[in-house]
This record gives sequence, structure tokens and C-alpha cells, in this order.
Amino acid sequence: MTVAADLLKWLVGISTLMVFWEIAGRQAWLGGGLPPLSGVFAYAIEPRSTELLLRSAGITATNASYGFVIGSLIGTLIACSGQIWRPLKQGLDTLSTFVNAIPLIALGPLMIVTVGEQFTPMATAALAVFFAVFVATLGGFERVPNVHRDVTRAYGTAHWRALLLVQFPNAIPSLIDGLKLGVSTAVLGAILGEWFGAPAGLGVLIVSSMQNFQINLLWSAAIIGTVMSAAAYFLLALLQARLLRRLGL
Amino acid sequence: MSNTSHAQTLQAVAGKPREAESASITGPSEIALTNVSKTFALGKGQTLDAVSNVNLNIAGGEFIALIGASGCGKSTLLRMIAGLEDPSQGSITIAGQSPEDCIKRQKLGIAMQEHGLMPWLSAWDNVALPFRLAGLPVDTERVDELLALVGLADFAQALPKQLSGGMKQRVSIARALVLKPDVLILDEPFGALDAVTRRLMNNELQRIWSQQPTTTILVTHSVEEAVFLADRICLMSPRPGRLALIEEVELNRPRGLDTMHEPEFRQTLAKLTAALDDVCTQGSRQ
Repeated sequence: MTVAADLLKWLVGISTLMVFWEIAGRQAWLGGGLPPLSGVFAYAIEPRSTELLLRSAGITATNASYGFVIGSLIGTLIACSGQIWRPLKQGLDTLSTFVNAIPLIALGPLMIVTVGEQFTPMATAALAVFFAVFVATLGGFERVPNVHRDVTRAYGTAHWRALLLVQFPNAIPSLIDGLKLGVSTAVLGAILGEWFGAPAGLGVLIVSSMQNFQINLLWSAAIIGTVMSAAAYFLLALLQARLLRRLGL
Repeated sequence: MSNTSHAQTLQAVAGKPREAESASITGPSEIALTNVSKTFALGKGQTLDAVSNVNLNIAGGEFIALIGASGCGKSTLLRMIAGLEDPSQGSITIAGQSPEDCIKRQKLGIAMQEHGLMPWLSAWDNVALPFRLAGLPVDTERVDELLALVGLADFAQALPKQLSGGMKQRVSIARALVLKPDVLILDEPFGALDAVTRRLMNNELQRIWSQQPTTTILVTHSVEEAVFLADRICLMSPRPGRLALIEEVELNRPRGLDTMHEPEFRQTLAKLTAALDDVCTQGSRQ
């Protein structure tokens, strides 16, 4: 029910924005750089541009998905390993803070020369997701009730078993919050990675249309990127509601 | 009373030390506290003496209640016996071994004021959890038996949020008992319940405990609860917690709701309440 209410709020917000955009475009308030929304749509539904946009969006979605899965897995695993080997936790916290402090813009070129143009979008997406998921999972572990810790300790439970049976399930709500944040940053990370010189994708489309002053194509690509990350966020919000109900939380 | 002989047997079992059984590892364990003190560091060189120089011998199968004012160190003492905190000084042995060894052999059961049930597990799975935590195969019959013992056989598949406060505490006690512990640690298990539910739960606990006598240490704020359940009551003085008084409860077992109307019950209750008030006012005068 809350998911439906959220969706309604989104729709109201978006339609207001669309109306405002249309007016701003028609009145040319921002000059030629902001065409009316109807013009952008008219351009996007031309068969040739639709084909190009969908193909690029598909590539970006693939890059973002791989990045999302890899980044989430690494983030979760590293957070979990800190729970099993306590002394490791401090070091991992510092390391991940460092990784997050490096701007993606600086990492992009480094990725190009290391993992190559093909895999840079996945790598930048994974890096963006990693930190959100890592921090969220760690936060989840911090919120394990003390009485749950006492119960696991009273049976002399091995760390990995306590993690599996008590700590990890407790951290799931927080982990999903991290995934929700992460999925939007995955799309952003993938587009950024493509920008640095991938063979194809929305990022490539954005760079080339900007340089060739194809305003309608530029806006179409930007809108598709936004819709993609919003859709992914919404999908995860739906999953979250389902899962939390099943977990009795 | 038709079950007088049963009552006498139980009293004999519960009341006094039994050399033969305390030596065995599998029976209810005797517990020895020698000069136990606990000091917490508060930072900036400040310290807090929570428990000071406690000496106590608990017989195998005995039910001990710890009472005293809030913050007098009862829970700290209990947590040290459970191996959840280390004493700063002195030693604690359970059947001659350290609390840590007791934990490793899964011979400890705990239930706290917060029920601590896993919200994602059904009542049945919560009771089965200690088997999984200990890495043992789940004895399904034992889990069924415990749920029936606490009167929740019909709620086996219910999630904690679907159970009332009293039911959750019963699940928590079933969980504490499922591995047949030698020592049962109870920290205000009914503290969050209303007075009526609490009395009924005390009666239930008394019945369950008589069926499988276990060395039990209960921390409680309720003198009534302590008198009703315990063989001996230890009264702790305000911080730093010392044993101010140890009182033997001379009430026959099994005890029921009508036990609370007996003159002996009233007398012991009045005596201990007065002693508790005395000890607490002394503390505040200092």
C-alpha cells in the first residue's frame, strides 16, 4: 500500500515537472539548449532514433546490472567478513572509506588503462554500488539487538554460524536500503564509465550527441537513463516491502 | 493433599546440596562464587564498582532469586555467572568448571526481560534455534515437547509479532530449556508483563521447573515473585552490590496460586520487603 502511495507521489511530481518543462521549452527560456518536451518525444519515437536509444540503453542496463551484482556481492561479503574476523573490521572500514573518497572521475581513466574500455562501465558501476551496500550492511550489523548477541554467546556459537543465523537476517532491512541506494548509483556509474570511452551505451551517446549538438538525442538519452534508475529503484522498493513482510520485521 | 509425597521428594531434591549429583557433569550443576567483584571503567580514570566481594554457593538443582534495588549489580552478577561478562576479581565455577566451559558444552539456558526471539522465525523455529546455534541436529520431538510444556503447541507456526507478550516470554523460556541445560539464567523474564499475566507465568515457570529441576538463578524486582519461586533469596545492597541477606524460603513444593495465600508466604514476603526497604534506604542515606 505504501508502495502504491509512493508511486502516486512520484507521478504527481513528474507530471508537474513535465508540464513546466514543456512551457519552458516553448518559451525558449533557456535558449536552444532546452527544447520542448514534446519535441524530444517526437524525436525519440522516430524508428531510427528509437532503435539507437534502445540499443544503447540495453548496453547501459547490462553494464549497470553486472556492476550492481558485483558491487553488492563484494560490499556484502566484505561487511560480513569483518563480522567473522573481528580484527579485520577496523581495517576494512578504513579501506572502504578510502575507496569511496577517490572520485569516480579520477578512477575512470585508471580503469580504462587497467580493465579496458569494455569493462570500465561495469567496474565504475560496481565501485559506486560497493560503498552504499557495504556501509548499509555494516549499519545493519550495528543494529543487531544486544539480547540476540547474548543468546548466540550463551550457546558458544561460532562467529560464522551466528552471522548466518542471527546477524545477517537482522541486517537484511538495512542491506536492502543499501541496495535501493546502490541501484541508482549503478546506472550513474555505468553511464560515467561509458563516457570514458566504452564502445557503446548511453554514456557514449551522451558524449557524441553533446559534441555534435544533437540536442534532442542528448535529452532523450538523459531521460532514458533517469527512467532506468527510477524503475530499478521502484523494483527494489517493491521487493523490500515483500521481503520485510515475509521476514516478520 | 494427594501429592504430598511428590512434594516432599521435590523439596528434598530442590532444597539441599547433593554431593552425589553435583559431581556428575550431566545433572543440575552446583555453582560456586568466590570473592566475585566487578568494576567497570567509565573513562577519564573513573570507575564504577558494580559488584563487590560476593561469596555464594548454589547447590545443584537449587532455585536462587536475586533481589535488590535498581542498579545494584544483580544483572551484572547474573551475566558473570552466564559467562557474558568476566569478573574483575574472584572466580566463578559451574560444576567445578568456568562459565566459558559451561557455554562450550551448551549447558546454559538464558531468558531475559527482552524476549530476544528472532522476528523472522516461527515459535517452533525459535525454540529450535539453540540446536542450530550449537551446531547440533534439531531434535524435533524435543522442540514439540517444549512447546507443549509451555502451552503453545497450537502456536508452533506463529511468528513472534503474532504472539502476546506473555506468549513470547513462554517461547523464550522454552528456548532456554530446549537443550536440557544444567543451569538456567533468568534476568527479569516477566518484567515487562502486567501483574496478572506475571502471576500466571510464575505459576507456569514453577510447574515447568518442578518437572525438570535445574540450577536456576533468577533476577527480579518483585519480592513476591522471588518468594513464590525460589529456594533461597539473596538480597543485594545498593551499589556496590554485596550480599546483604540470604533468606531460605520454607514453602512446600509444588507451589500453586493458592501458595500465595498461605501465612508462611505472607510472612516471608513481609520480612523480605522490609529488609529490601531497609537496605535501599541505608544506601540512599550514605
